[in-house]
This record gives sequence, structure tokens and C-alpha cells, in this order.
Amino acid sequence: MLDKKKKSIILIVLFFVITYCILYAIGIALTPENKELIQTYRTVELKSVFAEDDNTLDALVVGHSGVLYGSSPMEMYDAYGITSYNLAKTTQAPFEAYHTLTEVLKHQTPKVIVLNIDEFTYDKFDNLAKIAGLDFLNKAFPIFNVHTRWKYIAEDQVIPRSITKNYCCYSTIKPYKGHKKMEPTDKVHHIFKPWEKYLNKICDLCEERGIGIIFVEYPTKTFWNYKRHNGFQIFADNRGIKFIDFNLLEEEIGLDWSHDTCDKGDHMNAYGAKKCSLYVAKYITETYGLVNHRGEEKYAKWEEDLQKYRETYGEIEI
Amino acid sequence: MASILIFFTTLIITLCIYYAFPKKYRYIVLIVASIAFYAIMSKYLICFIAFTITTVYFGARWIQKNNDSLLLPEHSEDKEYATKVAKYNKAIITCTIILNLLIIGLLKYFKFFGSIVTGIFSWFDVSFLWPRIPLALPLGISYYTLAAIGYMVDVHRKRIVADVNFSRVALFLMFFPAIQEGPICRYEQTANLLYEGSDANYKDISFGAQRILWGLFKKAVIADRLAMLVSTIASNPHAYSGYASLLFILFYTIQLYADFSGFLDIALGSAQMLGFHLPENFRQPFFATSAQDFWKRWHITLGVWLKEYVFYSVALSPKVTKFAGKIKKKWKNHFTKMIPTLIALLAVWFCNGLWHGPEWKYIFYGLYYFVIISIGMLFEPMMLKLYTKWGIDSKNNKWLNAFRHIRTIFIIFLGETMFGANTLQDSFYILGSVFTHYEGNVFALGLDWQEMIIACIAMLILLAVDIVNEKKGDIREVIAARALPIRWIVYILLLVAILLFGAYGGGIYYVSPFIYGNF
Repeated sequence: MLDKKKKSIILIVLFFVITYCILYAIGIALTPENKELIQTYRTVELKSVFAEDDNTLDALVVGHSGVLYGSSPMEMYDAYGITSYNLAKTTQAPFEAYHTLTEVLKHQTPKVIVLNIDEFTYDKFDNLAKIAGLDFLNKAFPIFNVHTRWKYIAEDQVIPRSITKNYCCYSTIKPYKGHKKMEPTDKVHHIFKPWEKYLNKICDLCEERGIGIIFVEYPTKTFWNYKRHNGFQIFADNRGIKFIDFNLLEEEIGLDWSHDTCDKGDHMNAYGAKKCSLYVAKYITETYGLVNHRGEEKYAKWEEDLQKYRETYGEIEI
Repeated sequence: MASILIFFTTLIITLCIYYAFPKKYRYIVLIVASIAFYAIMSKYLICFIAFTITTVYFGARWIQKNNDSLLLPEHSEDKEYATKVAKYNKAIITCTIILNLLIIGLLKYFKFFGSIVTGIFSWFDVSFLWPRIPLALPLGISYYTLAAIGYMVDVHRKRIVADVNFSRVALFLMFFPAIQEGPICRYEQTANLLYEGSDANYKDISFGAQRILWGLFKKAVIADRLAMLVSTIASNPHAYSGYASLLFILFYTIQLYADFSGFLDIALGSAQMLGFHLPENFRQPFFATSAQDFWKRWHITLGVWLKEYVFYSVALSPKVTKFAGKIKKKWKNHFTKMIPTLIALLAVWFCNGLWHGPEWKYIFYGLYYFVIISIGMLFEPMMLKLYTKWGIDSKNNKWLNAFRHIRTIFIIFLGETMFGANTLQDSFYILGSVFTHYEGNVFALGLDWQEMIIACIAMLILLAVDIVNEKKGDIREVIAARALPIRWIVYILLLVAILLFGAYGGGIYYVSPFIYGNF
């Protein structure tokens, strides 16, 4: 009786082990060499950064949806001739920002990294648990993350070029009607230690590679306050990093909350994004001596991308 | 997606705790799990199911108390008292049912009634503004309300004795695997089993898990994949015609079957893992030989409920019997004999349509089946005479049976198109447009060629499994009789198919909510 029971238990365990090994093997087989190529609901055209020729990007803009909607590489290219890529994911966690950046830096040698910093204020439990849980699940069962790639098993997946460079262009206007200004305070936000670790890692990575870094907070009325500004200003000052907080520069860049937001103050629309992008482009061009690539043969694809971008989204008048 | 994850999390935690508890107290685990699941899914709306449980519990107890008083020696011969009790009980059951129907009427049908009232007023050129109230629907209200009414009626009909145990009634109405989409259980079938608990049984756990996997295959690989084409056409039916419309008709019906029966497989599989065998809701519906037969195979528990509590209540009601008697006296023939049945059937199919949702298309859908089934019943004797005259064996003739199958398939697909299109007008357009030419690319309707191949293979597997279930009985028994390596290969292939080809995630697929979860 006991033997039968033992045998049953061994068989059940064996069944699960074999099943797990098969699922894991399929997951690994479907995983591309570069994991950033995996399309998920949170990435728009992030993977297309690998369609860019190696060592052709001057700047990388890293962050979450604030960047996704707020930083337009094509407007920066059109005005200053500098090449940049929007490396943003919705609700991007700091460790994701670090991993994405290290992957992209294998192919690119930018002069400067523009880092949106409010993802380093994410609620420690909600997002951490959700993202870390999904991260663990995807590592344990890679098939979850790559199962949609079965279609491409018989062919090499050609990565298409992105004409927006992963930027989400929305020209919808949904005005913000609340308080216009941030209330000044002496209070200081304390950066969550694990997030501070990743912030330091990103800064160290840039230092090691001789890449400049600036912090930027894109305009938002739902996620940002003066206390947080103070916290990151202190961090930036301690490391000697420039911090551009657009929430304190609204008048300087001519931001109009009744016109420049697509969702009542949470994110920028195409008009707001252009204003922010041009400001950042001017600053990094002047500070890091970026050159205008317009007309250079090496950047002919960028000209084509710009033409397609204009055909699709038109001229954004600000 | 979130609701499925919450469901499986609840199931796994419940399974671990359930079997760790002594059998005597296992019902507590089920009650706590069911309340927790309901509270997570519906939050404050839990108060509505609590109200239903409380009203039917006390209503049934009151009726039982009155019935018991009839057995007392002082009342045993008292006919006047018996009449008084009958009237009293009728008032109690009417009030309880009306109270519960008012809740579902307000939450589910308020807007629909508003559109009717506004329509009537506008008919007379009177402007009338029906109040707009944002109403949320509690989880499974259409299912637990029917189960609760069934319990009340059974007590009133003295078929069962009202339960003194409140937690048993609560568990019967709230049992979490069945709360979302049924099956609609009857008290005598499940209440005691759930309360008494079950022993850990390897076969039940294994078969239950297999059934859950099969349900997930139907949902993720078939239903949600077909939904990609169906939603493309349903959102703008006038842009399509010809084979595109035909594909909508075929794919929507199969999507609905895979979606609804898939969820029921998950629900019944989950209950089986806990050691319970809930009533079946589907039995290979596409093998039906008539519309009547179809409804004995599709949403079986709703059909049984309507038969027990609507059909008999109407057909045997004094008013209908009296009316039918009068007609029969004047004209005595097969048609007049059918009058009580037809009146009751009309009530059944009206309720069936209305139950599905507050929309005219559902009411039309119910009446569509009423007309078809009524015609079948009215002309049945005439057809039998004709078969005898032509020398056809009406039961065993192969050609006749093949014809019946094909005819029923047409009836089913026609009906489900009305059910699936956004409006009745859309469904008529889709049905009519099948016969016009369509020049568009078949792979531009939401499913590219790879998706289409996977969808077709999955539908063939579904057909094959249904054939085995119909001809040889439960496929799980058939597989269990095979050698161990074959069994394992089947189970692993099924799991791999779900995870690899399931239409979920990746920024490409959208997990559709279960269709019958909205009813």
C-alpha cells in the first residue's frame, strides 16, 4: 500500500518536473538573443532601437510614460539635427530602466543620457510587487513572455525602424483645470533605498562609459510635487548632475495646461512634447557639443524617417 | 484577465486549506473562500447577495413553519386553516420573489425599462426623461437569483424542507466556482454535498485539473482567437459581406460555445477538484437533431430551471387551464390541446431571452426559439403521418437524421448571429449579406494566416473531443485507460498548446471577458 502511494507521489513529481522542463525549454527556444526585442503591452516600439545602426545615437531618453508621451526624438532631430531615442515603457521600474540601458549601450555610444526621475518615486509596494512578481514569473516561465513569437519561429524576425523612435504622439487636447503651480515647501522626499541604488547604478554606468547624464522631470500634474523635487535636487547636486524640472519651467517653455496635455494633466500631448523636446535638445546640444547631422549621408535613414513622421503626424505648431 | 487570476488564486489557496481541514469543518473553508472571492470581485455589491440569502432563508423558514403547523393535531382536519396557510404562504413566496426580482430588475433592466417608457411617451409626443442612475451589476446576480427562487419554490411546493442552517443556504448560493456563470444548481442537488464536505480523491483532483485545462484551451486558444475576427466584423458589419459575413456567423457561434462551455469546464473542474460533481451545462450541442434537443444540450441548467419553475407554473396555473378548457370545449383538436403548452412555452422563451440581457435582440432570440419549437410541436403528428405514408422510419432513417442535423445547425447558427451582432438590424444585415460578393482579403479580418491555421486546428480538436464524448462517453476516461506515456503526452501537449497558442498578452492579444459573465 505504502509502495503504491510512494510510487504515485514519485510519478506526480516526475510529471511536473518533465512538464516544467519542456515549458522552460520552449520558452528559452523562443527567447530572442536580445530580450529587449520581446514585445509586451508596456512597450510601444522600444525594440526598434535595435534597428538603428550601431553608434548612431547621440542621446537616449529613459523613463516611463512621462517620457513616452513627452519626448519626441524626431522634433529634436528636425530642429537641431541630433539623433536620440525614447527608451520608455509605461510604469517602468528603476531596475527595468537600468537593464534596458545596459542592453542598448552594447550597440550605442551616446554622448548623453536624459533620465526622467519620477519613476524613482514609485510606490514601493504596488509597483515593486507587481513588476517584481511578473519579472519572477517571466524568468521562471519564459514561455509566458515569448509565447507570441511562435509565428516567427520559421523566419528571422526583421526589426522594423520606428519613425517615432518609440515616442507616443497624441495630438488630443484634454485640458487640465486644477491648480496651476506647485506649492513650494522645505520638505524633502527620501528616495526609496532600492530605487536609490538603481539611480546610483545608472549614474555610475554613465560615469564609467564617459557618458553625460542629466535628470529631467517632464511636466505632470498628477504625480509630482515640490517635496519630490527637493529630494531629487539634493541627490543631483550631490552627484553634480543637472536637473531640469519642467514643472518649475512652465513659463519659460510656454507650457499651456489648457492646451498641451492629452489627459487632463497626467501626460503631454504632441504640443507639450514638442516644447519639452526642443528645450532638452537645445540644452544637450549646447552642453555636450552635439553636432547637427542633417544632410550627412550616414544619417540618410533619419531623413526618411522624418519625412514619414511628418506625413503621418503632420507639422506640430506651437 | 484579472478575474481569472483571482479565481485561480482563490481555488489554489482553497484547495490547500480545504483538504488540510477535518472533513467536518471543510464547509467553513468553502464559505470563507466564497465570501472572500465575492468581496474581492464585487466589493460592496456583496450586500445584494447577502440580502438575497437572508430573504430566501427566512422566507423559506416562514413557509416551512406554516406548513409544519398544518401537521399539529388541532389543525390536521381544519380545511379553513389549510386554505389560510396556503394563502399566507403564497403571499410570503410572492413577496420574497418580487423583492429579489426588483433588485435584479433595478440593477440589470432599469435602463432597458427606461428606453421602453421613454419610447412609449415619445409615441404620444410627450417628452419624458428617465433618470440616469449609474448602476453596477453584482457578480453572478442572474445565476444566484434563479437558484434562490428555485429554492423558495421547492420549499413552497413541499418538495424540500426549508433549511434551518443559514450557512448551508449561503454556501449553496455563493459557492465560488459556480457563482460567475453557473451552473444554476438546485438545492437538493448540491446544498448537502457542499456542506458535508468531501474526501481527497486522486481521480477527482486529477480529472478536475484536466477539465480546467480543457476549459482554458477552449477559452484561450479558440474563443479569444476567434474573437479577433468576430469583433472586427461586429464593430462595423456594413463594411463586410460574402464569406466575411459567413465567417462571422460560423466563428461567433463557435466562439460563444468555446467561451461559455470553456468557463463551465473551469467551474465544474474546480468543483471536482474540491470533490463535488455539479450538474452539467453542456452536452455536445452541435450534435442536436432539433431545436428542442439543442436546448437539452446547451445551457442545460437554465433550460431545466425554466421548465421547472416557469413552464409548469404557467401550464398548470388555474387561469391557463380554465382558458384552455374553454377553447377545447369549442374546438377539440391537436392544436387546441397544445394551448396550455404554447402559452407556457411563450413565457419560458420570453424569460429565456430577457434573462440573457436587457436588449431587444435577446428577447427576439428567445421568441425565435419559441416559434421554431412551437411549429415543430404543432406539426409533429402531421409529419409522422407523412413519414408513415412515405414508408420512412422516422427514428432510424439515416438521411432523415442527417437532414435533421443540418437543419438544426442552420437554426443554431442563425439564432446565435442574432445573439452575437451588436443589434438586431446588424444581424439581419450580416445574414443577408452572406449572398453578396466580398473582395477583401480573408487574412485582413483580424486573423492572419498563422492565426487562422491555429484557429482551424483548435476547432478540429474541439470537434474531435465532442465526437469522442458523444460516442464513447467522457474523454477523460478514454485517455485514463491508455498507457502512462500516452496520457502524459496528451496532458503536456494540452498545457503547451494553452501557454503557447493561447491568445493572451504580448501586446498583441486581448483576453476577452467571459461572454456569459455579463448576463
